[in-house]
Amino acid sequence: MRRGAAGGPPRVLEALLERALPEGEWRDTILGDLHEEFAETAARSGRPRAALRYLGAAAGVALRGAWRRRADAVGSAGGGTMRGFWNDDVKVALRGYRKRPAVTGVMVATLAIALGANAAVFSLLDALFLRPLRFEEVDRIAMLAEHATTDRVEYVQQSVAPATFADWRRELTSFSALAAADYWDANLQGRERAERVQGFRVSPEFFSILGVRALRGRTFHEGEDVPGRDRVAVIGSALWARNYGSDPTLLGSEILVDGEALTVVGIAPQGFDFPYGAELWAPLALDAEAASLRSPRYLTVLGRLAPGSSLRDASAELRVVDERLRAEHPELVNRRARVMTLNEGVRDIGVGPFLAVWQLSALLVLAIACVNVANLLMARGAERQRELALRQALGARRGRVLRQLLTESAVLAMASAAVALPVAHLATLAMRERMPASIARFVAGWREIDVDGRTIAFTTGIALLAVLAFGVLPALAATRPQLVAALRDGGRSATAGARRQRSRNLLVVTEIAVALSLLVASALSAKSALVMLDGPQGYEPAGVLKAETVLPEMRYGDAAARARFVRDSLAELRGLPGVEAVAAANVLPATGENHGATLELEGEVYATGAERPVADWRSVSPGHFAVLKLPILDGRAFRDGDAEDAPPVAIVSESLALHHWPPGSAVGRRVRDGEDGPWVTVVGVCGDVVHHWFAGRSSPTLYRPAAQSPTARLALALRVTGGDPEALGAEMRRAVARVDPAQPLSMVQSQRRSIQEGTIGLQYAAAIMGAFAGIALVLAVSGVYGVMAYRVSQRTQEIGVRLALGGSRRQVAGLILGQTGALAASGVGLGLLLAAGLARGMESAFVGVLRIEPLPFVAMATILALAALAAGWVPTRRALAVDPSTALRAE
Amino acid sequence: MILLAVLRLGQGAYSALVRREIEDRAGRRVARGALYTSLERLEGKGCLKSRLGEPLPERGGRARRYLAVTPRGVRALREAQAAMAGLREGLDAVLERS
Repeated sequence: MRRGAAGGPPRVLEALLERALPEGEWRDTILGDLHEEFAETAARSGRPRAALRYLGAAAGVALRGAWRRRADAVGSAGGGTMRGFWNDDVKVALRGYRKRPAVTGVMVATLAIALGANAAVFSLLDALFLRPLRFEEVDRIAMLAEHATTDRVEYVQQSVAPATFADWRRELTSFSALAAADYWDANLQGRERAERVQGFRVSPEFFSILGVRALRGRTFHEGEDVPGRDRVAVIGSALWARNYGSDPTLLGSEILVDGEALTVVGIAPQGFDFPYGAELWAPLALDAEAASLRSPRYLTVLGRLAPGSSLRDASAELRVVDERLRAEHPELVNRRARVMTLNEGVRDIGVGPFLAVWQLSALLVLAIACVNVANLLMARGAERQRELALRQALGARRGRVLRQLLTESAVLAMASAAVALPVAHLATLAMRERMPASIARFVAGWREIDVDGRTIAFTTGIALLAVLAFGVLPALAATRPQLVAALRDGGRSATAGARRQRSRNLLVVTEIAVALSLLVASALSAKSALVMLDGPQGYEPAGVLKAETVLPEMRYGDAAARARFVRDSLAELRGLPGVEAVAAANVLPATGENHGATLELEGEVYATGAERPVADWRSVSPGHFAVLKLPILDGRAFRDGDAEDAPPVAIVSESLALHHWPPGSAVGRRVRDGEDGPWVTVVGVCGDVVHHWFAGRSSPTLYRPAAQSPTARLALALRVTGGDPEALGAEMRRAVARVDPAQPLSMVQSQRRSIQEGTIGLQYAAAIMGAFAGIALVLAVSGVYGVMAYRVSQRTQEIGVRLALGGSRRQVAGLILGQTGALAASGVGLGLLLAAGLARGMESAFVGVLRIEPLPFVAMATILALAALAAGWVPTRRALAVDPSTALRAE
Repeated sequence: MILLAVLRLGQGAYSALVRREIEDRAGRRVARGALYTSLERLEGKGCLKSRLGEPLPERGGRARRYLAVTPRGVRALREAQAAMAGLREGLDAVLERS
């Protein structure tokens, strides 16, 4: 073990320090010394104390190291300047801050919160969007995809037909190798019980393209992708540890997958689970017939660029090959091929807009923080007017004083960044752990979220930008040449005051405006998350327990066997205590799975190549509607009589019926799925369900009786009377094991939990926006308070005069509050415009999910205006309470 | 001062101990940054030499750097002491009185 988990300092701090110190033999010595010291302090006074001391010591050593490095880099000639810079500017800055610990603390905390939010969002952006996968030379790995000219081109995985893949593999020379991967729901008969694991069938070149070598044993050899020679498997190290206790003798022995014996030839390296959290890989061996198909398209195709060729070359070559293939195969007329980097290919399509909105919001929070700090610095600049004027009078050029002031701002920003990074680390950790593993595996890069070197660089960068934002204005204001006035004792220049007042007013207005737009945005996203989670689903999710399983081809190849499994399992489940109704379906709502079909409606004529209507396709047992309490609006539900040999029937969802037929006329019509299926009579219309929050409640759906169209992919569901349905989970597993002990259930959970996990992205969005808005509100209100307090305190004398001359307290209060009100009103007005823009952006990012409503705008504007008035009222009341004579004597 | 501390500690001298020794004996706080800089400079001048010990778990698997004063360091010390003594000559009365 390199690091003692219990005795050592927090790993973030140690890693940060390691980065900060100059490389060399002394670095390890210093790290070791501090580590040892930490252990001693921790034993004596506890870990928190030790961590604090460690932080102090590390900061001291790191600063020293950093400056020496700078000095070394500048060389001996410039060394003196660096030292001068260090001694004069930085030390003066530190001394100044040490004298005002409270204000400094507020400024550092303000900036640290904002920088922390930015760092956390950036680490998300980096891991999920910029580089989700971190394989060796990942830029040289490409993903190739086919798409129909009418498709949305974002869906690129699992999009290539076997014959097309074979053509590409034969003809493309810009790639040193191409591999295909095919999604595989594998049932693994483990040593103790059966388990459903995520598998992929892959070409032998798959591993070498990714640059991945087996931890033990080997990956696949050339020629193992031939039917008959493909009975080998590579398993993931987590699965190896979980099911086989990392037993080395597993190599070379056989495991039973989907009823077929495979020889384990290799263990994948730790952490390798590409794609989609895969734990089991077997060779993709297509027989001649399957390999010759140009549809369906279900392969994910990867390639490694040949030495010397670029992605551009590959793209050009693919275009040529693609055109030729289209000429040879007329059925490809509407297909296009394209190539992209692997990281572009695996990127979660919904994630980009989310992250963009978050990063924008985080920058807005930073903007507010900068405004607050600028306000404080301006107040400070006013106090230091005489000191700065003196420096200039003694011969310092304005630039020299500016340098001093900007150095002070930079020191502030760097200190805040140092505080912000550990905070951001904790935030990312919390985000990573809250995400259910079943979702995280589909989000490429989720595990990589952390505060790393790039995040640190980004944070430092925006901290320096922030210096420009908050430091420059006050510095310019403070060094504006007006020596005589400033040096004169007690000199107060009315015009300068007015000018400074104006810029402060501008800051307050900006602050209110930005905070309001964030508040509105967060209210909108919170509301849409709530609606998705608890709003109407079209059925009743409470009280439903569900499980999934996939019947393997090997043992359940014929429809009768599949139907038998469903019948026996449902009979077993019906016998469980408290069970009201049971059902089987190919897909349940909100499970992240889907199955679609192309329909033909009787009476419509479809030209060749023309688009046919597409609908979600469900195969359900008669109990489905009772279990989900899915209302039948017209006609009837399925019944046991809709058996294999009975006339084929279907139920359509309301949206499908209304889209194609006049209201009330759906029952009795005939449809078929695909061009060659049998005609099926519609016997009923049911309500629509929210299948996926992104699509809302409008997915047209065709239901068929399970007995007439049994599927391999199954979801079993039961409705219980009262109590927590998940309490029945173990019973449910046992009941199905009685039917077939080799058939594992996965995702055994309540329907409510499915919905919750399915909408997790939205909940994250709402929570993060909520946090941003909260921070923005606090910062904005405290900013308004600060400005008003300063203003009122400057006007204490004036207030005294007004009161002494007979002005009533009400009049004076009205005067001051009127000014606050004017500021708040302009801020709110500007903020509403900004909020409308942001909301429009979010609406297009979360299509169909987020609706713009007036209520959040009005509510948030009111809250913010009231908060601003309150912030102005507190100092006003204090000023009014002062006796006029005291106020007059104040100067 | 650092050289003296290293000499005092003998065989087992390493950076963290040196710091503590100076703080205990001389009653002065030593900034870590300054200490490491000085140690590195003294090593550069050939007054100190260092060797790495075994990696230790309580140091997070890192080795201690044991320090020893070289003959050259001893000579430098002696010269410094002599310089001090030269300056001090004739001041005993003043220094002891106060």
